Amino acid sequence: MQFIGASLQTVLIVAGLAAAVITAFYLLKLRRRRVEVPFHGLWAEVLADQRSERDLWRRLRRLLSWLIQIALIALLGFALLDPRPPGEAIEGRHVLLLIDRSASMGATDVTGETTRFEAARRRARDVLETIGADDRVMLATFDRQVSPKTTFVSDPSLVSEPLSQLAVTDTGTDYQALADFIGDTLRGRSEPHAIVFSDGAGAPTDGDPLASLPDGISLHHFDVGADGGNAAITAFNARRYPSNKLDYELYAEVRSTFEQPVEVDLQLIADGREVDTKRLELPPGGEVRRFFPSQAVSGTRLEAHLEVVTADAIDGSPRDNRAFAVLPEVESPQILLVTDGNLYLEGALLLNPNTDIETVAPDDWRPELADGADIVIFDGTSPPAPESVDALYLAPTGDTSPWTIRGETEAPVIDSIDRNHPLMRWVHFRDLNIGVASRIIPGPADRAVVSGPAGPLLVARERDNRQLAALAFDPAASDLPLRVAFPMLMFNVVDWMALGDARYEAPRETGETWSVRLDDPTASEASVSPPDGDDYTTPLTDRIAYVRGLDTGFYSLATPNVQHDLAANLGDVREVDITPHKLGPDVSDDDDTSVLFERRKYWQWALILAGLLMALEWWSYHRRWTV
Amino acid sequence: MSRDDQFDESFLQRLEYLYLVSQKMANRRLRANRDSEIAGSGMEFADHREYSPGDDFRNIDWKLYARTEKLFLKLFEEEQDLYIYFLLDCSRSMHLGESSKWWYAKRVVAALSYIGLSNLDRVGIIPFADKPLGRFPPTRGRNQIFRVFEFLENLEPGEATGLEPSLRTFVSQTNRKGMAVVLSDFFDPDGYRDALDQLRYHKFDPVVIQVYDRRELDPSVTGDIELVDAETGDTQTMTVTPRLIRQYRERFEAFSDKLEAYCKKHQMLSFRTPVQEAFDDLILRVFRAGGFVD
Repeated sequence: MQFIGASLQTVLIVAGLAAAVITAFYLLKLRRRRVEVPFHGLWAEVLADQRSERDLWRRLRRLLSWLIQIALIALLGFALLDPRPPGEAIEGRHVLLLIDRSASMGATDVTGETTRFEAARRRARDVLETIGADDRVMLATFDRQVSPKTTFVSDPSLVSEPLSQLAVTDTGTDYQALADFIGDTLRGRSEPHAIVFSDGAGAPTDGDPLASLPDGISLHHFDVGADGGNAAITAFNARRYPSNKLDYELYAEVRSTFEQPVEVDLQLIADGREVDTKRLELPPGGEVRRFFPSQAVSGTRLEAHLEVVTADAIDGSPRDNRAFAVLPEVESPQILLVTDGNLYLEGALLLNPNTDIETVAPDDWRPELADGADIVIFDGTSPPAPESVDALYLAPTGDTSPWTIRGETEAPVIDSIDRNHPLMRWVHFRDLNIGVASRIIPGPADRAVVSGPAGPLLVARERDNRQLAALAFDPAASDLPLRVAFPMLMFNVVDWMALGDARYEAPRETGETWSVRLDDPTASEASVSPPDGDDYTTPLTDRIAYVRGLDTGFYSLATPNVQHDLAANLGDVREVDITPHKLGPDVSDDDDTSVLFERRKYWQWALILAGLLMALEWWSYHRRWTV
Repeated sequence: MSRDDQFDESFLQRLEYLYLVSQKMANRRLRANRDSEIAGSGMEFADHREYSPGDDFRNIDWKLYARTEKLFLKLFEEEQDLYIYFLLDCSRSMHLGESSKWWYAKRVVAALSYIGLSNLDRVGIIPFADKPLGRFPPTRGRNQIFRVFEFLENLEPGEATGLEPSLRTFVSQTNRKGMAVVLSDFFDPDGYRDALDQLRYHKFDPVVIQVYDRRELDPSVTGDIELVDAETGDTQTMTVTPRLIRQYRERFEAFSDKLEAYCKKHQMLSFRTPVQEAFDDLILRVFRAGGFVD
């Protein structure tokens, strides 16, 4: 037995004094009440008959009362000592509670709780109940990174509140970061204990980082979850077709960890409306990839929902059965065509249904006309490039064009094409006949997309957030208008200058830090609307917002002038395999109760017994047994 | 009713009622029963009564016959007077607690005295403890009742109980025999037999009235106590339990039964009364037993 309450010497002294006082009171108590009677002779006769049988009991009665009082003092002193069993470790523990909140903890394969995470939270609360007065406890969560929620505190109630507010995320697990955190936090502390509440899913098979913690740190792993199968969407993308931005195709990847083939339904939803359902057959432990072309359904927010339809297959984690993708809005760029009339050019531009074209004669050109236009095409005229507007020059000449022109070249030939440039997507200039071309001297920001021996024939310039392009020759002075390449080239010019790569917004991965550009020069911060609905603000640095998303779903970032939507999906596909694994050294104490620091509070029983004795004393007093 | 006015007007009314009852009861008996057993020629004229055949014609009052032409007998004192002596226990045991036994006994003495005085008996009161503590000399006539009240009110309590020496002194000092009514709780360490025998041997007609208080049989205190005898001061440590109280009660019953049996054996009227019983009821019981209504 060990005592952690008041010092033994103090208790003995106090109890001894109390016992001495009680004994003195009992000795003084011998003074009896005097009762006058008219004739004690009758009483004496009665007493004479009982004398022999009453003496011993009378002495014992008095002794009994005294003994009860002494026993009461002894029990109170025992309680003050706060006795504990010999094996119970109670001095100054540092207990680190680590809750796994990765995506696999959202599995619902636990009995009695909704998810593995709730089971882990409940176990953590049980451990908090056993924290003693000399202990220090700290709470942290881990997924892709470790997040401390408290410092080391002595009051468990300071941990209970943050514990109640935790929630599972859709991120993966970094066990190495966990091991590093445990080592850094508990190194050098007295009686260090790390208690990990995790399913261990996704733990590395080649060496467990938790198996080699610094010396002295006791690792306890409360594992949750059961072996079972799971089906999940591991990839989901959507992109618009280059030639028809109104149409788009989808890509989905579905993975299964079931040991038998399973059938699943993949439901496609656009802006909250179900648009299609595909039945897929998944091989055991395998994956299926599918393209879904020509959805041709309007909508910018796309979702994929997965449901296992095989009767005897229970999906262990429904949390990874949803994936999200965002299609960027398609805008119709405004094109201002400065020309005296060019049917070939106008026709090629009109083939793009996503453009609005205005035409103005070169003599009527004024820079103010470029306000509101996204692209200005100068055909046969070369005024200075308007401010903050992209422009295409066809056969620029003169000193006012943005390029330096040094003469002309008769019948230039093409010997170099930059196929990687967006202007050249699906454009072929094989055997292109050109009558005459201006000789453009490219500047430092210029990029020769199509070149010949005499110089560049198609030049692209990107500077100060503007794009400029120049075709060194008049298309009419070539056979380019007669080729498919001409309208294709115009498509590419519009795409490159006005639409950017608006065909595709890649989903972000949960657990990563995303950089999102918001081109609002007046904003210093942006509001972020995550999937869970708890909006917050984040500062902008060089018009870039940095966001770390933990949950799958749609995020919306906005400034007063700009809004940007994006989707986030499961970042670590290893979380699809929800098979639990044991963490840490191979220990034999598989009994979970051995990890709980069970407090056997003997002082409580001592007080209960003291209360019973007091009741006995009261009852015997009123029955006149002991007085 | 306070102790000071225990002989008040309502008490007198009750006494008057008791007297009427006694008279009713007396009329049912033959007048000859009233004759004193003491034969003798008393010289003091007391009263007249009508001549009945068989009476001693030597006592015919011829002067009255001359006046009334009716025959009347002279009644002399010796033939008519009954001496009633009330021996009242004034010891400390009678005064214990609220002195309920003491007050009760005095009321009984007053009531019986009134009956006796109304019947033209001679009534005397002898208070005693360990010895006689005074004497109210035998007196006669209803008007003496207030002197009786006064005497009773002024009585002082005594100390220990000494029945035998008190009664022995009484019989030695009293020539006129008569009825000796002993009112006491009879808590005498030396017992009561010798005392009562004194009365019997000296030709008194003892009547025993044992007075007790029911509360003495059911004490409220329990547990460890020191018992103190109110008269002797003897102490006894004990632990009062319900069982002990039960046994004491049985012992008291046995004691009282013995007293009653002794009286019955020696043809003495005896009454046992708790102070909780109305004194009227005791008086009526006495009447029914034949006392005071001859």
